[in-house]
Amino acid sequence: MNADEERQFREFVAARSRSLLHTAYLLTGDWEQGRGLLQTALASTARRWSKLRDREQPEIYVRRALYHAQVDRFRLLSWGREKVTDTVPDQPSGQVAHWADTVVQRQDIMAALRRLPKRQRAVIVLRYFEDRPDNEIAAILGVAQGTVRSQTHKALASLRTTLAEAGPSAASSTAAGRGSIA
Amino acid sequence: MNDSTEHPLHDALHAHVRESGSDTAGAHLVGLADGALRVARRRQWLARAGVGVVAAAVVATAWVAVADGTTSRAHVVQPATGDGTGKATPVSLLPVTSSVERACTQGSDGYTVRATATHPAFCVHTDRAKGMADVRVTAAKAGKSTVDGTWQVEVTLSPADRTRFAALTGSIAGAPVPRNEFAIVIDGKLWGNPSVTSSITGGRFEIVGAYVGDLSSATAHDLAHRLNPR
Repeated sequence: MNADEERQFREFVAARSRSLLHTAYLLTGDWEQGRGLLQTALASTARRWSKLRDREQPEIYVRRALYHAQVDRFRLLSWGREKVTDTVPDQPSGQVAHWADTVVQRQDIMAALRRLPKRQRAVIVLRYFEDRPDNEIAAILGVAQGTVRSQTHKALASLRTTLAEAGPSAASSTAAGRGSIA
Repeated sequence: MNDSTEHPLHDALHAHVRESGSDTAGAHLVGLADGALRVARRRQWLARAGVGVVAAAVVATAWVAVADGTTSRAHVVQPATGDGTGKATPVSLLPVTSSVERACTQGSDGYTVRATATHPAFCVHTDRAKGMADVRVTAAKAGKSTVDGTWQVEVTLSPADRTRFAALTGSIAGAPVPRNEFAIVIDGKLWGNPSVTSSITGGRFEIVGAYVGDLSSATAHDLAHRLNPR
């Protein structure tokens, strides 16, 4: 990397790192770990800087690297940690209405996210934090769109259950509970 | 397709990040670019450690100069054998004792990696006695990384070597940089010095490009061919 490229790289980091750090934080559940994950992804980006810059896609690359680093860690380290549940993942779409009540407990949201398998967490962050459509999520994670949808359903079902357990005193816990344990 | 921005989860996630990060996020951004550049320059390869795969960085074409040329024992280039039934090229996996950003000095027995347009030269010293010298792998296969599409060679060790490799990687895993790295030496040349974070028990590792284009289809296939038993 020459001086010019280094300057461009620093500008890129200055402009985008806050947004990237937020994503990394949600993926790891911890600011310090999120920073570590982001730094790794940025180092990988720096090595490929001239190519990525020419194709104007350093941000796409670094986001992909973030998700892959995180999901790879999951793949390698957490065999068997993924919970098998007898909860049917597919919920009628009408259940979305209950979210407004369930998610009131904002402080619980990270605890609930942490309990998700990393791939499901990644899908949730891509869809509901970065607001990406299924086809982009599938491209970033390198999986089929059907997988994205099924992982989303599973993740939402788990989140509902966790949040319902965590906040039984929430205004409409009964509605939430009914939705999640169906 | 439901509109995610109207989903309560969207609000919850954004609100959570805003609230929990308002004080701390800024502090975590300090020095991020410097840190990333340092890591990139140091060639501290991310080891996908754990069950079985190490991503090892390789300098394939811009080649390694053997530092000394006179004193060293290990740097003998394998002569082409005349009988046509040449054995597979052995690989040495040696714990790194030091790694500095300059070419090795004359007379030292380190491995020099020449500077490229994007990287400084560096000199790696290893502890040969504690490493695995002249290992013959059971399989080597060139392929494309599923992560970023770059060429790599995946290497599989024999059961006996797998056990030794697990012990070697386990013994260096907790060490400070660069003693948590091992050097991959083939034909007296350094083909990467990945760091490890835990014992690698699967008996497999990947030799990948350090940066895009380092390992081409041709060089990856050639390396795999040389390593494979024949």
